[in-house]
Amino acid sequence: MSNKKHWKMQLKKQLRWYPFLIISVAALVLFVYIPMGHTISYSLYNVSIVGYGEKFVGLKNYRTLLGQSQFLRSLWNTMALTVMGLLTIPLGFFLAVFINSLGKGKTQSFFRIGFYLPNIITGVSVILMFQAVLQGDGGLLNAFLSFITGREISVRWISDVRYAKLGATILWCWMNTGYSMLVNLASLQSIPSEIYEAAVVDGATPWKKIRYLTIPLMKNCFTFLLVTGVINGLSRFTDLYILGTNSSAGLPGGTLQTILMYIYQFSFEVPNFGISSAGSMILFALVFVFTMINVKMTGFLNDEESN
Amino acid sequence: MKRKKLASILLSGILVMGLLSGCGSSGQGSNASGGDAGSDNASENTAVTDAASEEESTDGNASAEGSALNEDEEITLHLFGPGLLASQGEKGALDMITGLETPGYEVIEDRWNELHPNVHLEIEAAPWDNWQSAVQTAALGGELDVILHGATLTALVEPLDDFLAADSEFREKIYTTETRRTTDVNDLSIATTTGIPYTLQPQIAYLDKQIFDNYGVEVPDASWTWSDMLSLAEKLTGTDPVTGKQTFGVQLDSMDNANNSFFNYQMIASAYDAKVFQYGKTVEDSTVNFVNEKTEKVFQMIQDLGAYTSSNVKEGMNISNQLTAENDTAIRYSQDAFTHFKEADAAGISDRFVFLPMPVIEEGSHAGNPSSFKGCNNMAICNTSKNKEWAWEFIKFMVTDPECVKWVIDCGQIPNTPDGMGSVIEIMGDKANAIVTSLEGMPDDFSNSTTEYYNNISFGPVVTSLGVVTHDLVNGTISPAEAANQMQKTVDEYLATQ
Repeated sequence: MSNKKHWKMQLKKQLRWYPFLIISVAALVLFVYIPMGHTISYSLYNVSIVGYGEKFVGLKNYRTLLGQSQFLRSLWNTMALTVMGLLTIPLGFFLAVFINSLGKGKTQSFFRIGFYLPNIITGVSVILMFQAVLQGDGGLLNAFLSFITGREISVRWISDVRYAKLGATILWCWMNTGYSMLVNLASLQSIPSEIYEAAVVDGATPWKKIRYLTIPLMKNCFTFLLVTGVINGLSRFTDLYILGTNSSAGLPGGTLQTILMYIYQFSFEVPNFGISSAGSMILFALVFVFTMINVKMTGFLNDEESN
Repeated sequence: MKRKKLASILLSGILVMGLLSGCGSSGQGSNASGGDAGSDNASENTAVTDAASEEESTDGNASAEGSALNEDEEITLHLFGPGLLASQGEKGALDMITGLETPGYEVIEDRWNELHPNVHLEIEAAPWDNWQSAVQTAALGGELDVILHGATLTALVEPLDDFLAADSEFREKIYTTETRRTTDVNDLSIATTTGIPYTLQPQIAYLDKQIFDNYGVEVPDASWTWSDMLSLAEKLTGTDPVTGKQTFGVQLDSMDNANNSFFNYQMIASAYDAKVFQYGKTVEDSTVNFVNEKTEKVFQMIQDLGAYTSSNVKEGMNISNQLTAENDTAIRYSQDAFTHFKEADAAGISDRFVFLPMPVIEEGSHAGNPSSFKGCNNMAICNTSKNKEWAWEFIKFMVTDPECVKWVIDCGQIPNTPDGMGSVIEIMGDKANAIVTSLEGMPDDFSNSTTEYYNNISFGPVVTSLGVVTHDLVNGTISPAEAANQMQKTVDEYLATQ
């Protein structure tokens, strides 16, 4: 059978499955790529109300944003909160090591479910609950710290400019460490036990096993969590919006206003879709660059290919 | 093989059908599904036939050109937007605090159909979430006639000054209109009427007589000033000498919503005549000066009052405006006075609270009037409407028809007519005096985007920035001078983008 004929037969054989892809591709084009194209287009226009007299302004919206202190502050806030939010990776790792050390059984299941539980609870409920935890006057965290230290502690975790980012990170970690733990645990349990047995024969201590075996073998897992953690961190919105009294202002003092909140502000509160679209494109560029850097530095794709 | 092909085609078809069915309207709740006569929930009043739509497209043009209303023509008026109609729903709502059932907007529909059987209403009441974008999207559809709460969306609404001028009798029947300064219609130096409120919510102060009595402090009268409020707040913050419980002097309004906390600034600024905006014809021609002595005085007052608020107010969480037996704050102020009266009345504690107009304006042309600020539910005519005359007729009906006014009152809201206010006075007694004084003392064109003290729509993110500085002032993390500089910077940066 000639190659051409074989190829044709293969195509004919596969063709019947392509209609199933049409829906996904059409949805992707309709709901992702076309709006994305519009966003790129709007970022070059002055648009207050869509359909009511857009004016072409070229790259002015981008220049405006990069010279505006509020946008630059939101950029800084986003970076800082994203980096602080990556704390979930080591926390998840340590929890995974702890749970794995318990051996398979009911105890491990108990802790695994317990640590993952915050991921199952609706985000808004968690945020509202954490308002009570992080409240300055009578908050549960302050009460706990006061009990531990034996002196009165009344830190305003989410309403004092100095502590707001830390308070928001505590909330973020509580919401996301369970997921990080689960991914770490799955990766940890996929490492063959023979490697550890060989290391024990060679006289490796528990710390050396983690340092020289576990961590290097979990590089792909860390990369995955790093990339997804950065993407999630850069697009952080809901929790900070609710903590900031249901406003995109980023209370207190604008310290919790992220890029997405800035975009929201100029989309829905002070409608200027040109500015918000330009902000969206900058956010897209940021996510793209960070992801590429992460992937490149960790050789994530190379490893996949070699595997 | 054929079976597989058939199966794959069938499955694809099912997927496509599933996708398309997801795009359809459920037809539940409101009457969004015009034309869906087969829907169980489609109201008889709002059923729209193709024939009617066709007539609308031709006859409607005639209306837009200003011809007299034709009671024989078949018209469908499309209403869209947030506000009281959305919160009540078509069938009504249950007030969770008083336990009372409040009527839905079917009352409005029934009454309108009784008067104008040829003009069908199609009401799509939207929630407040992203309402401005939702209205914009609806307006782009080209069939919108009345925008609920549309006065702010100046690019989408028809100026109403000519309608009002041609209908002076109607203007005399109502307290106030909604005006905006906008280059979309006129230039910024002119205040244009863009909407008509059908409910009004003036800011009213609620003083807890029990706390005043326990501290041995006299309750002020309606001539009080912001300095009086501050002095009282200082005296009434501490441990109640009778109950031994912690009390707070004052609760600033809307501190749990950064987008509304500008209410505090606007009222105090009007009291001190702290002018910031000088309007030219365009935004570029206008001058904005937050850095001045009077504005700093306003910010100083906010900061000083903040010292006598609860930690919840400072942190912007767990704040309740409700008047309850457990109240721990001597002076509160907020909108929805009628609702608060009903709450207190239901709890049997209405005698405990004194209702006062806000402190008086001390300087400027409005000196002596309360430094009140009002919220409202308003209606506007969409500028692409083909039925503008009928839309105007509906707005007048909604504001002045006795059945509609009764509906507004039954929903716990204050109507925009002195006649309707008479019914509120019958219910509230003396406590309604504060509302009447506020409404009668409110100058025309005194909205949150027309005064020289404040403008929330033409100069960028003033609303959110003011929310941030108000919060920071109350928490003592910035000084009044820094607050003024921050506001100035916000506006300057925005103007640089124009």
